[in-house]
Amino acid sequence: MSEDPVVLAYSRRAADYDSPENLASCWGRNALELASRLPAGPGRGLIVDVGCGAGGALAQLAARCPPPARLLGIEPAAGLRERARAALAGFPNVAVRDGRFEALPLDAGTVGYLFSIMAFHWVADAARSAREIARVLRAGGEADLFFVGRWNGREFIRATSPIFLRHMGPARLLEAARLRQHLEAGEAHALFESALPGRTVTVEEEYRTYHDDLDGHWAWWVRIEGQLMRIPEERRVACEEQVRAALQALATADGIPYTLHILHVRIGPAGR
Amino acid sequence: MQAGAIRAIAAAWIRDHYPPASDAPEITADTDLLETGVLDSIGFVELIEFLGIETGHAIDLFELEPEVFSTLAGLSGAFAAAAARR
Repeated sequence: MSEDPVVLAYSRRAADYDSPENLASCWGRNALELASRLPAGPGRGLIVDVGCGAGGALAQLAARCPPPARLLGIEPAAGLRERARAALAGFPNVAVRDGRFEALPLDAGTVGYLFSIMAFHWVADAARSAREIARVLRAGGEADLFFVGRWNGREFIRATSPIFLRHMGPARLLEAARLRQHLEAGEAHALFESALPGRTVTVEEEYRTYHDDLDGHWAWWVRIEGQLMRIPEERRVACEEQVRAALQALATADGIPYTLHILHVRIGPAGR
Repeated sequence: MQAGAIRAIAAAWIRDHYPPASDAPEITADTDLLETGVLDSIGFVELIEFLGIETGHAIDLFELEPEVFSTLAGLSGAFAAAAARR
């Protein structure tokens, strides 16, 4: 469906994305913790996970929402959809469908609860995506979106950007940077408030620093492969060696730090 | 617009949007803005968009060498050259 390099990379590396090493990395642990914050029994109507990946969070929620509740995972990467369908096969009230934030495959006003864990920052068009959420939510519907903000991973970005610049050149480096959204909390609030007038929109942000060894961090590198695909093939080995050395140089007694900047957009009904 | 003027408005933009720490070394025309962490790649995206608006010209990033791209001298020179070509 999509030529988005991020989607293509996630699809191609779906098995690695779902690997024990990735799930044990800071991103995997963080996603698990965020999923635990989802409401125990979200209100009435269809429950939708946009960017459901391999279906981990949806499975957690499905386990506490038996029929007649209906759940739907939406995922643009074909490889991840296949894994999600396999993971959710035991839940008769869960389906997985192709789609993305910018064009949700849903009728207007049909969703009771929409959530997304660490996916919204990959949207190509944030304003259109927010309008789509507004379109599909029913009048009393609610949503929780967790995604990374402007200042995510600053330690790594500072250490590796000069290396990527040398290997990719300025044009490709900036193209890669543009592949994800870099919203600050205030920008996220303005975005969703504008798209959902009359509803309650709150944005919370937090910084979480995870320490790990180089291999532990390297396990989640698959998550940014889409941004790195523009490194010329003949330079990839040298680039990777230099990046690994730069990350290792960040190590402290606690390990190599990586700080997630997490935004939580909560959308509620009007007047709450 | 001359390179010196472009460099001045770029430096002012950086001071406004990415103010350096009080103990940070002074930013000169030849400071590597990426290497020193003054700007990250998104900061460069924003700065280049700003300079494009201010000068009325676009630069071809594929023509720029990495070491030219990442300094105020290099960037302002590229925008001045784009203006001169017009």
